[in-house]
Amino acid sequence: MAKKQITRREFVKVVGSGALVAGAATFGVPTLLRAANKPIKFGQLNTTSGIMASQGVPAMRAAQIAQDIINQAGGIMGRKLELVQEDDQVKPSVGVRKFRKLVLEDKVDFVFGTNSSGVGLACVPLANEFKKIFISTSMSDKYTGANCSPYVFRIGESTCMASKASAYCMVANAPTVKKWAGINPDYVFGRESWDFFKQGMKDKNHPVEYVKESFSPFGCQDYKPYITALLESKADGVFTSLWTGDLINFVKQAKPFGFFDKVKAFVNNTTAVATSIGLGNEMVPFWGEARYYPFYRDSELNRQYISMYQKKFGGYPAADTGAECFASVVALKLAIEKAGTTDTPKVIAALEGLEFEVPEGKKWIRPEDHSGIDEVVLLGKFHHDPKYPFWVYDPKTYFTVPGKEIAMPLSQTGCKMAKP
Amino acid sequence: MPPKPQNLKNPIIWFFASLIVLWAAPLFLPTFYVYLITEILIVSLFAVSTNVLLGFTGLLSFGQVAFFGSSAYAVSLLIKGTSLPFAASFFISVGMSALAALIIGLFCMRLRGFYFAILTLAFSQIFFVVVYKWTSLTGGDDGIVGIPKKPFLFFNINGPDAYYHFVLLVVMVSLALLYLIIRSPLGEVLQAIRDNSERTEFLGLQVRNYRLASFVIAGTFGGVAGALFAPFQGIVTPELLHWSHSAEPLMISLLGGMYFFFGPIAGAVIFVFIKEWITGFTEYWMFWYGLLLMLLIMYLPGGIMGFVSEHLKRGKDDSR
Repeated sequence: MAKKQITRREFVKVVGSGALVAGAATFGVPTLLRAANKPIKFGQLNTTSGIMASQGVPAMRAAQIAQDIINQAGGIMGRKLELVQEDDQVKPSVGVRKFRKLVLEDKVDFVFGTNSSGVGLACVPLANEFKKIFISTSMSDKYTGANCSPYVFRIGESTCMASKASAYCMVANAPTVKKWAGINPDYVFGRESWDFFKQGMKDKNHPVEYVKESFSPFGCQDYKPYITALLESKADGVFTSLWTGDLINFVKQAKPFGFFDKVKAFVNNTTAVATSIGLGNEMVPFWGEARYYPFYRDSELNRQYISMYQKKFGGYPAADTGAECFASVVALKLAIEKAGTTDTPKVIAALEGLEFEVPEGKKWIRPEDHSGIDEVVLLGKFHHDPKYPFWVYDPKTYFTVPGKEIAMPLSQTGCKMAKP
Repeated sequence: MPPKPQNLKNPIIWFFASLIVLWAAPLFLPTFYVYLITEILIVSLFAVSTNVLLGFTGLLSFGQVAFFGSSAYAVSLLIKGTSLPFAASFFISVGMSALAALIIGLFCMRLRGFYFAILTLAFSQIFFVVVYKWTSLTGGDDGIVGIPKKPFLFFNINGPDAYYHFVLLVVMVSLALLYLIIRSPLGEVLQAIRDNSERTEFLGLQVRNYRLASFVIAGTFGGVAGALFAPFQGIVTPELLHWSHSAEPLMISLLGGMYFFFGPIAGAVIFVFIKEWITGFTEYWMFWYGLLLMLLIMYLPGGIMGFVSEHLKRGKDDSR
């Protein structure tokens, strides 16, 4: 049998190399010439199906806006930017398959995206295996923690930043609320969020009592048991990191219980206007923290981003993951130009320490752990403003914290960055 | 009445011929397709093992993920948490699946039909909840990430081609064993039970024990598939153990033809390709798959293999 196999292998090799020679003779020279003008491919993974699609679809669109802006201005080093977008269905197992497909089948040069840290963290081993840069647009601090990798970046605000900012904001705006409870999704992001919120309270030496902590399954349909338990705990303040579909479901189900009248402070560390759009008239006044909030920053780029988005897709670029996807494309473009090549180790070096502007403000990539750090982190309290078709932050309640102040200190990340 | 199974004329030749062709496949195929075929092989084994129950014993189990998933979890925990060689982790995990199948089977064999299906579903949900809630051990909803492909005995199986060859060998040997079991007197009895369990009982055979044997065989080979799957995917998550995942091998068997040994393999090829291709165009691949399944069940009740064998038979009749 062994003999037969070898002959077969050899047969294939002979045929294969013959085909290769023929191919090279026919196409070889023009292919070489074409290589320089071949588009640069960015692969994107976000969630465009299921109840989290209201974050993922705008994330895809935001990246397309970045692509349009870059291509209209001549591309990247004269080469066109091409996006290859895939739906991860918010399932880590699907994310892994799609990541593999992007790298092996679509032959992308870089990968970015993910709405859920569960999906993104599952892709990290693949980024290491394929030696491809992966920029996460989900928030976990684990990307840049003890298992940090030279190939992996987290572009935006981390869970730590968002949750600590929420705590700081509550210390400043609801100092009398002392009994806190948490309702968080039962996966890495929810658990990290709750821990960092408590850490933030500790940072400010604010004496509070935690009367209830609950973790609901991701994509939970029935929040009633959690709502009654929270109400029974007699908490004055509730912190949550439920996002998009989950938060919308929670608010809809909690409202009939009079939840938002009984609880004095309700704060969420990941509310973009996508949530208030999703809730429409059922929206309630609570505090939200957004990685991107369209109406805060008055800059040329933000105006361009919003107007291009409105022209192409209608509506506002509401999802905050979208802004992080925009930022990922911009960061990669700048780093490729700085490096003068798409060669992975050189682009990694160029990304480290990169400072750049995106619609929500300035960002900096901390070189030691590849953590993206925003100039400011913004919170606000939702109210109804007749100027907008959905609830927005009351500008009088804007609360900002400099990103560097609340980013996880380098000494605590546990990251020892290896060489690519 | 299910068709009489068609025996391969020269099973040994078929075995080695397909082994050689598949072994050489990475020479022709891009890496992406090597991954795809690896997945097809694993899904095939899972489906064929489930079909031992469904197609050959006439038992509808909604709990086969319990064995696939628990084995995948066990092998992941052993690989990541201990210094045991992979071969040991592999066999321990498979052994645990077999044991789990024996214990669950002892309970489930008391019931029949609908009640049996629901009880298997309930058992598999117990596994799911344990894995989902025991966050400190299993990582909860995040699962276990970054499962390496450690060497198997002295063979390096790291890398897509090497792992493919490993999966190919294990799956081919497992399928050969299952084929032999189905063709053995045991397999004949199982099929007799499927066709008429009362009559089989009157022949003096312990139907319950035979059904239990079938359940353990299916669970064990489901466990083999699970233990192969975890390092392949590099990640295990609780959804692997969710009861809805049990429907997958059932649908694949229906699609391919559940009264044929090779039916689920044909079904798995189509299932994995459809999933891979249609998800590229639309998120609603399940819709198209469902539609295809509906059409097949309505117009080709014997599945793909049923259609093919019918055609072959007709061809022969014509030539006569």
